[in-house]
Amino acid sequence: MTKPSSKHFVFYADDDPDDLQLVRDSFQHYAQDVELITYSDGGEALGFFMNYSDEQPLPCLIILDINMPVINGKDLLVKLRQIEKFRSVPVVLFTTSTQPMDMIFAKKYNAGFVTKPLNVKQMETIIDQFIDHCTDEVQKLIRKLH
Amino acid sequence: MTQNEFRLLPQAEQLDLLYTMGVFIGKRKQDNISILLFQLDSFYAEVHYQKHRCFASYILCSRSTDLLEPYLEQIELEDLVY
Repeated sequence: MTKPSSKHFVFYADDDPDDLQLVRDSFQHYAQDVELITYSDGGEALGFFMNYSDEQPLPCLIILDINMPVINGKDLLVKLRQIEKFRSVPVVLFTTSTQPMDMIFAKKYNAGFVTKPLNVKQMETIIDQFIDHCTDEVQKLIRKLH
Repeated sequence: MTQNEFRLLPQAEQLDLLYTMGVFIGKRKQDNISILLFQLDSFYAEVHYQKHRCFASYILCSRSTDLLEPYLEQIELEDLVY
């Protein structure tokens, strides 16, 4: 796991190193304002969320892969919504799945649903979709500067 | 879209079509290389990547269900019921 700093930060849990790298590379463009903190499975991410102190600023976005070992992204989303401080933090389920059931699940737990890209070009659009899920204030700040 | 029409498209257009219209079936790794299988209309398309998932190396198309074989264990029957 990488460590948070004073920037706006995005948490991303995914067990696929290729996907982690793809998203990491894409967020480099916003590195001045946004720090991406990554976890390699759902258990590692949940452990971090459970011990999250009230002094730490909340992330502007949490991105969860669905198919992860230890705890999958859907179960992690449910657990996250049970933690008071994370109840209204923007969350996106990020998956290769196109199952309508997964989309309905995301909506039920007030989360977005973004399908993983198949190449770098598509990833550019997806970063925009991620930012769309942040609060208006964060969106303005990030987009104003880029 | 037929398999032959798909094959004639540039790779970027093939990937856009799979992204917007394809049904994702499964993902597997072979020698640390990601391989993704989609169904598009009446055929299957398997995307083979280079070292990372940023750049596709080639796309294998087939109407044969043989392409499904390595993914069968991943297919969730529960999802197909709904």
